Amino acid sequence: MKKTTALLIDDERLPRVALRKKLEKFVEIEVVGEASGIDTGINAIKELNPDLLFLDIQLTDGSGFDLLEKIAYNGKVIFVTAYDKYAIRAFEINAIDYLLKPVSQNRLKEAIKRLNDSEEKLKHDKPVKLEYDDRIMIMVRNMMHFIKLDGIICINASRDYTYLFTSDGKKFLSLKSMHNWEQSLPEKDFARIHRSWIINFNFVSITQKSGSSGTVQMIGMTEPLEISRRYLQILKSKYLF
Amino acid sequence: MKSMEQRNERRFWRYLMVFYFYLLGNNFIGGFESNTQSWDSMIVFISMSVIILLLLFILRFVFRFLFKIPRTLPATIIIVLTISFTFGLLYTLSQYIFYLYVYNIPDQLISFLKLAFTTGQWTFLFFSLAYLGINYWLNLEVERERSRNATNLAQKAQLQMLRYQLNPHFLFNSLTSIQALVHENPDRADIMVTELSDFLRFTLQYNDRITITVREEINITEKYLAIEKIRFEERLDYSIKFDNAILKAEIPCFITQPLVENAVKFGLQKNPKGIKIRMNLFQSDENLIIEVSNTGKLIDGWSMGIGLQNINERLNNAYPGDYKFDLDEAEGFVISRILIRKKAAI
Repeated sequence: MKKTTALLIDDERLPRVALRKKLEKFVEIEVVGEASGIDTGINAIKELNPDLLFLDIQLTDGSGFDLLEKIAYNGKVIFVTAYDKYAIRAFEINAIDYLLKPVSQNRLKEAIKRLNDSEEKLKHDKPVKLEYDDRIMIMVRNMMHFIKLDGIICINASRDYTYLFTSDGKKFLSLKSMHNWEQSLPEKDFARIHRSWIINFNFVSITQKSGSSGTVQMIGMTEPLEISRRYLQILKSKYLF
Repeated sequence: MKSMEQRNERRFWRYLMVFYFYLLGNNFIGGFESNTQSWDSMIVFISMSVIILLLLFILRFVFRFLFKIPRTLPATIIIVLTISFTFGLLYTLSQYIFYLYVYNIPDQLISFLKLAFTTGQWTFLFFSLAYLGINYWLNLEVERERSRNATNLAQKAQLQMLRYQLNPHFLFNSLTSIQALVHENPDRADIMVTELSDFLRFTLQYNDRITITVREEINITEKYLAIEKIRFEERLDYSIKFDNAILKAEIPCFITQPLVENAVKFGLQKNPKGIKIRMNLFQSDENLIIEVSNTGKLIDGWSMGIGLQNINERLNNAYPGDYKFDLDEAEGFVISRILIRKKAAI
């Protein structure tokens, strides 16, 4: 059996020692290298092309996300952090997980097992429930992007896929369908208003009703979005008292 | 605070004007009833209203001047009565002069002076009491808001302190270091557990204190840096120097904590290979000075950090106008400096 090669990236030496020690118990994992920052990490990834990264989020010279957005890496990533307000969830692709320091042996085992689960299995699993404080990963042309849920203004359907509009003015293509999003997003903050639109309530600027449908202007979007008759009914029954 | 007082000033005049027009209206209607309406009496009425207004302005300044001086209740009563009478007298005298010129009839001065003891005095006594009442009430509001602000600030400072004490990054990273040392160097792991326990014990011990002595602050910082030293190993070097004479001075609890945290964080960000941290506590002239420095250059992030704003807020709360807090760069070190005037600290 081919071993999974792993690279450890953490700016402190001791956490790397702790993790290496824990990984010794997994015969299928082989730690091929260590790095202490963004630049050394990128070099090590290019050189070693590891199957798996253990990546600290707070590196001294930036964040783990910065590192991933600077290099086309298509292996798997397990984030490791002492504390972060935003939890990272595997959502789109089963390629990431998230561990808290100090890392527990059991949780590490679970993370490694989960990364090895096939895509097929993920599809049949019940939908991931996201929370407003989550960070999700989107793959755009081999580059990983990490998007905070509280920064998504709205989601637009495009055939079977969707586009995410974020508060920093960017637009990301997601492989998830409108239906997938609807099932996973927190109902408290997100709602479908149209066959092809889901909005984040926290970005609503003005809503206008005209007859049995309406429009809504979102902060950060130029054009107002249409609220269809069908979804207006659903919205009313769900949120109005 | 100033704007609140200015607002009150405006409110005061608004209330006073309401009183004034109320009395004026009363007088005017009273005039109708006694059937003495004529062009002349109209002139007298208007002139007298202007005089009353003028006297009221003067009264206001007299009161403001007199009541800056602390006073007892009997003194206040005597002042109010004397002033009311004096103004009543001024009012009736001016009324007398008006009658003399407008109607050209020499009325009896004595009967006007009698008026001074009745209508004149009562009018101004009424105004004086209204002034005192309104002022008292407005001051009460200012006081209330002031104490509300003070409580808010104290609570905020307390919360900030707790956040620094229980910084999750610090705690979990320390525990992770211990996790590694358990395998690699059990003796060092042992030391780390003791240091971390000491640090936590200190924070629990000082939990409900607003201020602590310089010695206590040094003890906590020493523990904190010892833990960070184990964590960052040869990348962190530190020293603490202090003047024995200031060890007993009281300073806001954990005030240097964010400075030391920043020094480690930003220092390593710029020099991941390794940094030196120096803490220096001393007195110079009549000032207590605390300096925390790290090797490196001053970067933008330093001056804008929320932690530093909080230090400023806490110092301002504890020593309004008697402190200085600044950032400096000298001889390859970034220096953050807190200066407290000694008379304020001790």
